Amino acid sequence: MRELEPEPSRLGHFAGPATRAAAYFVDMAISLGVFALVVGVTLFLLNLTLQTDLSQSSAPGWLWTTLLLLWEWLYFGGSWAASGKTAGMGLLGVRVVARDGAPLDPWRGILRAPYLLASFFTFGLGFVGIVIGREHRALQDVLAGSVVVYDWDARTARLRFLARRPRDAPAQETRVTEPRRPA
Amino acid sequence: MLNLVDIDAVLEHIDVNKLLDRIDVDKLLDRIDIDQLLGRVDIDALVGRVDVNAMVSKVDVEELVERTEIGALIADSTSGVAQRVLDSLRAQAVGLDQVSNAIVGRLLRHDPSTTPAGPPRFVR
Repeated sequence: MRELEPEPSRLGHFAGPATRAAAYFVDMAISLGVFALVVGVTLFLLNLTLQTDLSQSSAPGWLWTTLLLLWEWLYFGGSWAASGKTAGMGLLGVRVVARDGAPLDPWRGILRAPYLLASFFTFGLGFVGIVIGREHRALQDVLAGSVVVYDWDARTARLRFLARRPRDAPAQETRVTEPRRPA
Repeated sequence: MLNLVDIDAVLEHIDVNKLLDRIDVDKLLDRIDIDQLLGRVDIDALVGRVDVNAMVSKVDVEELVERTEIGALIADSTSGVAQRVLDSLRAQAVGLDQVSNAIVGRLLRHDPSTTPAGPPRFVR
């Protein structure tokens, strides 16, 4: 009988930089895609009904920038306030919670979005904490009093993998080895 | 009178096995009311003394899932391609997280025993 070494669950552990970056890129792709789609459809309908020839260049750049920032605030802030996670975070299996692990206060969720912008204004220095910090907190986390944790049970996923594998297939070690942290 | 008898010496002369052979165990058991006996046992206290976590930790769940119908049941309920892709994607990202954490931890000499794994509500 092989030695027992259960896959660590990681549920509720601090999420690392790769997962958070992947979730962010997915979110940007979704939010920018939806914004472009809505703008395109709106201009099309306006041109159709008003018999005009409006295009994106018809409006000043500051207007589009303002609209985009408001939309991103609504997308990120609204998602964090409503459920603690955006679509990208849901896909990657992470969630924003308060520092002690309690559900994030909706207002903190809404304010976390402009704080995210602040991380960019510091030339990306606001994100350094995700990589080197013990709690992997970015500037927006420090300002909003939040942390990002795994909302996904790696052990259950491994059991799903084992359950799907044909019974006579040779055993394959696919788990990621990690020194067990003390409880 | 009894003080004059050396009980130990008497017992030494008794063949206990022979004595036990003469006992009809079945008949003895028939006379015992098991229900009444169990009624005198505090089952809750007995169960309370059992370390269920230690027992469960000895079960190789992965082996169980692989070898039994439980695996098929789990596979039936979560066999979607999307779920597979999702599990794979998340596992890859978590793997990269661990590589990054290991490198940074070594460079900054983070002591794993003092580094919290998660918020106190989730990880003690």
